[in-house]
Amino acid sequence: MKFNIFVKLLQIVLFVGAICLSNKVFAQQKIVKAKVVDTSTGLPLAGVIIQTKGDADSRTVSNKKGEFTIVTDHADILVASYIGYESTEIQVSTFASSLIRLTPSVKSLDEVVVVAYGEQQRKDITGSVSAVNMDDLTKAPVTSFDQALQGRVAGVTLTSNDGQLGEDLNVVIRGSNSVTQSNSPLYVVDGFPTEDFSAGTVNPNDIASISILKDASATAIYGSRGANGVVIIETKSGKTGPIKIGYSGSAGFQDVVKTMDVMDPYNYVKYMLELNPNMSEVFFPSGTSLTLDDYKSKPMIDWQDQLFRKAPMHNHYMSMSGGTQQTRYWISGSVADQNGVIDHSRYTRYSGQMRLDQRISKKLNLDMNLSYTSDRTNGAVASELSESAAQSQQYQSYLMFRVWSYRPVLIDGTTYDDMFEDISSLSNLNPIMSNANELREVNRNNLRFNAKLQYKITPDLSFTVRGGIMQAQSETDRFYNSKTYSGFPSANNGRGVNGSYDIYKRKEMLGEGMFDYKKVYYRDHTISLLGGFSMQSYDIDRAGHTVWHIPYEEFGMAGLSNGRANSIISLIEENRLMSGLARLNYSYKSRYMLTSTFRADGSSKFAKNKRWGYFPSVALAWNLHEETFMQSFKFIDDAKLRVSWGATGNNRVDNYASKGMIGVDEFYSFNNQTPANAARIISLENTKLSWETTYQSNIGYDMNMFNNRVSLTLDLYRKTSEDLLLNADLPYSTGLANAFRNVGSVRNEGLEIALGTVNIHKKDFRWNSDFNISFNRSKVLSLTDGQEKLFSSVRFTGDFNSTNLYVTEVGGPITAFYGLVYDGVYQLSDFETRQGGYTLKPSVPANGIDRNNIQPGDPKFVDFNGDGTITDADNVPIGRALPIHSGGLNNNFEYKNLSLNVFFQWNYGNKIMNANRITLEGNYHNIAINQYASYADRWSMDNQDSNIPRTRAQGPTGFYSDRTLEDGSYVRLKTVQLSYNFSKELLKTLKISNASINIACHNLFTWTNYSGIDPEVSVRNSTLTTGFDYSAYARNRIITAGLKLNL
Amino acid sequence: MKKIILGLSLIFSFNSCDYLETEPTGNFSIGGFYKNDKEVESALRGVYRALSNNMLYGANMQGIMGLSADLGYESYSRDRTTVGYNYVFSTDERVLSFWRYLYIGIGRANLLLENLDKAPIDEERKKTIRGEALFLRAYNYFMLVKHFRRIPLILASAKSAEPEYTQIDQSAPEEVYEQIIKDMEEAEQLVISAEGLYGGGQINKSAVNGVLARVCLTMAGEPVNRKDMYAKAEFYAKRVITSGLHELNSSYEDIFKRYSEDKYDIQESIWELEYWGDNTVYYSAGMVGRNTGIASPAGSSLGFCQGFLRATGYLYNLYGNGDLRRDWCIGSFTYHTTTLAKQPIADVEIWNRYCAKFRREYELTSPKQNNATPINFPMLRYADVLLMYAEAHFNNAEANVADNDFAIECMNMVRRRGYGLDIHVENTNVDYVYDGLQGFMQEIQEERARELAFELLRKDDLVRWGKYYSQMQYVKNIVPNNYTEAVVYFGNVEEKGVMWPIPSYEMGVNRKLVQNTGW
Repeated sequence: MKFNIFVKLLQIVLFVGAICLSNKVFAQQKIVKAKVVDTSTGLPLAGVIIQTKGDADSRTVSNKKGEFTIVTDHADILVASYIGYESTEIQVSTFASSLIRLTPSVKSLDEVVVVAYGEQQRKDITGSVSAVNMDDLTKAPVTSFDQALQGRVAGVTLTSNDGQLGEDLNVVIRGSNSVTQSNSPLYVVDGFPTEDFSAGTVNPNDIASISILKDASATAIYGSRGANGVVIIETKSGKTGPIKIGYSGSAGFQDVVKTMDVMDPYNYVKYMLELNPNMSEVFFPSGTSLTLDDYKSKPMIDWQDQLFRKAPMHNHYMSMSGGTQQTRYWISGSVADQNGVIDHSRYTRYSGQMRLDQRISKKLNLDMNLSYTSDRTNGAVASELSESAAQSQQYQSYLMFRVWSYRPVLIDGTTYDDMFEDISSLSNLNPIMSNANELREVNRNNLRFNAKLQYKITPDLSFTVRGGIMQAQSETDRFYNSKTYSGFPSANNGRGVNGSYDIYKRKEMLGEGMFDYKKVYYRDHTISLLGGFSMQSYDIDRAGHTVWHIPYEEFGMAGLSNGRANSIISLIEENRLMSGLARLNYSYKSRYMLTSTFRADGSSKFAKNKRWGYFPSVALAWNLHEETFMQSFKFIDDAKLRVSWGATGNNRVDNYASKGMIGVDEFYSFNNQTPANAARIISLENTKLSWETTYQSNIGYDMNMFNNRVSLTLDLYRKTSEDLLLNADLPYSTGLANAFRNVGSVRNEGLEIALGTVNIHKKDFRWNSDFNISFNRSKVLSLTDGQEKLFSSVRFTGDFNSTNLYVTEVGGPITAFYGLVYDGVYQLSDFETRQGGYTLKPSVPANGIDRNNIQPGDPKFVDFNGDGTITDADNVPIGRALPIHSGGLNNNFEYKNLSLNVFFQWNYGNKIMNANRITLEGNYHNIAINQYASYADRWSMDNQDSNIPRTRAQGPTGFYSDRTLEDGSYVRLKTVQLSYNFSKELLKTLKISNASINIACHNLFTWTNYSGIDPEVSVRNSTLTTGFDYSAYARNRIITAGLKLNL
Repeated sequence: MKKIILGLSLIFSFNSCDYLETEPTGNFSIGGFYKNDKEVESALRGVYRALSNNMLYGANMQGIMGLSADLGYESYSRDRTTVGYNYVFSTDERVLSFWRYLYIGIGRANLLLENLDKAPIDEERKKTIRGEALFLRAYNYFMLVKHFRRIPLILASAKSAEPEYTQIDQSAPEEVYEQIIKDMEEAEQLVISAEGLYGGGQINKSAVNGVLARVCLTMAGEPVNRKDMYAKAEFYAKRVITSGLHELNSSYEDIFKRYSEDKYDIQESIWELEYWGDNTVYYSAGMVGRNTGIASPAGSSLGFCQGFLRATGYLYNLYGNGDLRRDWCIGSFTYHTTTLAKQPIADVEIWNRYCAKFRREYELTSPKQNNATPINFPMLRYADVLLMYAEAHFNNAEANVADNDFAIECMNMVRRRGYGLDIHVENTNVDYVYDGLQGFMQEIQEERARELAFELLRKDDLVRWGKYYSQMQYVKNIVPNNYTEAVVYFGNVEEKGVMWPIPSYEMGVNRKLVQNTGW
């Protein structure tokens, strides 16, 4: 009887569905009666919420047998949602069954996860693989996914130089292995592995999934390139069904979260007079009766207000998808236009993506994917050094420095316009004017094409051929006219008006073939085998020129041909990789699982007989909840223990790193003849250069509890990298500065915890949380040839360029800050008074300069070696450069049609070298510039409690100290998104299937003790030189309003 | 299925080794170099180029490393905490670059010397190339040993970056000097004669002999004190004099105008470093005359001159009345900042005058780049050889007394030229009359200052005479207080300043190094 009813129902639904497909949709009320079951077990699910999409009032709940009844329209979409399961949408018009199958959701072990060369059910995975929740990620109003990734996944750290537009973030998985080389992971985009990946080339809305492979079991199949972890990105493909059109867009603005307080006119003038009494003529011109106090009432010009703006931005994304059994497609396009908070900076991007899945025959399947991105970045780089300055003055060439240090007040008799156009000298060159006149434009084009042909030889065995090409091109135009810092005609500017053009082209090609075999033996034994080969080539081509003394600056870039060519770059390089790989997965009743992989890689980068590397891995997993002894723990739904070990490699060295090379790019002239080429030694041959190998062990535990309301993943790892590919510092007595060698060893150990909870799950209100935290500890086991310490410096300004700011010590972390320990300022008690002057007591150590010149208020440092003065030998490690832990907390609230996402992210325990304070809270060259407001509290005879050095303080030059080393810990309210789903009544009249509006904020608030602009900073970022801040500007706060529509 | 296997075997059919074989483009591999004249000559030019680099003679040594000692002080307050103001630290970038570029030259010479034999080039040319490379390597070591004393003596190229090629002990100064002399003596046999040479750019026998005299004089003085080397110094200096190829230019100022004008004078200017053009097309110009000289505005027709170096009143007062060298070495005027007119300096103003030896005014090309000049730099002048001969002769215990008059004549020729007199005609007003070794030494020390001021020899001279610290203190005490930069410059001098510290970078990566005493 029941059966008959269902048959009838089915017929009706089919009939209606047919009408819907062939005709325009017409509204007709219908009663839907169905049962909800679990996909895998087939068991009924009670308490499932079913509602018409966009209409919270229509809610109903399934009974104990999983059954429900709902009154709906034929045109409607039903949504079935249940804790721990993916929400499922059912098109009423095409609903042809009485069963609704719900698939366990992200938090469940049955989720399908994309892994290397395929996908796997989470319960069968033996390695450590994290899937990024794309729903949450795309709630951030950003143009590329990496900007929203920080704090989302345990073990994944992202750092950026500063808030620069269009700049990619540096991603590090489970700590840095490589000391001098890149630690960025391998990216696999739709099956195409690449080391050079720019997150800006994939629209976040096009991404179906991001998987992060962390342990060796997961990554070893990428062999020589897997040691830094692997990020697998799969783009969306169409689904069988009617055409779907989606739009999402947002508009809003960005502004700066924080500006620095600089001294006001009164404090500025007061300081100038202390610095140089002769300046009184400037501030109190003869004939006026001005006094210092008059400057208290003078209006202050905060140049930051002139530089920064509230910058509008808007993003639009549109997609069209659908398909039949034979052909499925996904086409999308997007536009992003983002003005930067720094005047004249802008980022625009256009992207398009097309994906086609075509079933050619029962056995043959073709999958093609084409994507194109074109973006443009305009504007100065705030933390970039300009070479136009003399070495010792380079610190003055940075944009933010000049904005902060520029005179904050009008001098009598001058106007703002005078000051704006004051180009009398470099240090008086108005930074706002300079910025407005600079041209810096980067145009990038990125093309990616992938094709995959899959042939099913037998039902169990298939063969896949994949081919792909990736082409990236980047063009950089720079032009500096006479009103810019670099082009301004000054004594040190040997370039005059100058410009440059640079083009960089990269082409990567991939070809691979893979056999895939999967069979179940005797019902309980599942074996799958993968084997194949892969070849990849990589070519780069770079060309460019720099032109000086451009006579007609009004022509801009077109006038480069009139100037004098200075340098011409032409560079062509290539490398090749050839590999064979195999993987075995064995599973007994999905209870005991084994994965073993092997890869052999040959790379052209290495010495001839050291080219091939072999990378094995093995992993075991045990689904404990399948065991009878676990039956007594009713609250545990799933529990899995994973153990893995494997070896992975790193090949990130120069393309010809093993070769000894001679260049002929210098010139010398004899007897006034035209100079001829002179040879120089570029590098030494290294016939032993080979892979860096990382051995990683991982123990993991996954558990779901309380009807999947709580899910927990724990991972404990240790990875030891040996034969580090080190661009080792050489003694200059070799005639060279560096050479690539396989030396040294580094260990990283860590713990990652990810916890997901469903806190509240009521009919009208739901609250889910995801929390993750990761701890990583690095330890250097050995360095070059028994070397105990490795020092690193950053390029900042002449006096400091060769000063060691970081130390890598055997037994210590991979990098740590290094410098003098600040001991406050010299106080009167440190001196003997003699003939009205102050002479340092013999017992008090000098600070590195002649002790006769030291005065009260000068900086004082700890004299560790007790030699009575400060020298290099007094430098010691002064602080952590890497955080102790970092993590994120994500919350989703849903109340009726409203949903709210709140995401926090933090870093704890690292320090930052705030080098801004060297020049702006101490003015180490004692030139006539403004200072941070904090400098008003400097030491003076009237203010002897201060720790900030006096005006004209004398101290050693080119030394960093912990005076300017600050705690970089922070907690940031990274993303907040509030969205509202429109009710169906409204949408029905508009013929829209669903629509939502949202307000999203990014970088809303930061809690930190860091006194600089932003604690998420590293303007000279590399493994060894992290956390240096000079002239960086803040991450922008973004606030947008958005709309999502689906037709 | 068959097709697939066919496809697979096709892909694997080409040799995997070929696929992974890539060759660098745009550069030579070390093994594939030195295979013809063009390549070998470029390797030799590389050795010259390293020495002329801006980190050495090209710019840094010009006025901003304290090498003019008591004769000129740096006046550029931003440099106060650098070696330019005698403010020396083991992290000083110029000191590090000095070390680095000298060793770059040594590395290039070593590799060339090792590969020369197999190079299929003319045997005669091969001989002279070997001589030039040997000499230049020795000269670089001479510079290193003078300024750092105990240094690694590396005579073969590094085959790889393995420790055996990087962790190298220091050698005692004496050992380094022995090697320098050995190499230079060998070079002397190989290089061409100065006879008929167009200019002093190429290393010639006279250059080698003259520099050998300088090396031996230095070795005879502080700190090595090998007094027996005076004999050798005398021998080599005399060899240059008796070659008959050299003669003083009758006009002192013409010598230096010629450097600016890119004219040669092999008779006087025996060895010079060559600079060319303005760096806009070929990077082969330097900053001689741009760093030191009479300051002139950027972009001006004179050519920009920073005027880092000011002459001291001490030097000014060393010149006697009528000594024409004074107003050539020390600017008697300044250029007006806009009209560029020469504005005379008041006679009493003697502590603030620019070092004026190299003048951009006489450069022939136009327009002039602000930061690049084609002015050649004298490495060895005949006047220096004459003075060294006299000094070596009177200090040489074994010297032939019969040559005493000739030695004094050598010195007097230089003096007479300074006064614009006929160099070969005795002049009682100008000529020096020997009055014992002590008096002679005082005179020769002052004569060298007058003749060779700002030719980057002074500090080395004072050090070898053991007078650096005392002389700097002496001048410090006569600097008028209102010349702040000079006060700072002299105030920073320390006794240990006779040498520089081994750069801290180098100490960090070559763990066998031991720091110089006091540093």
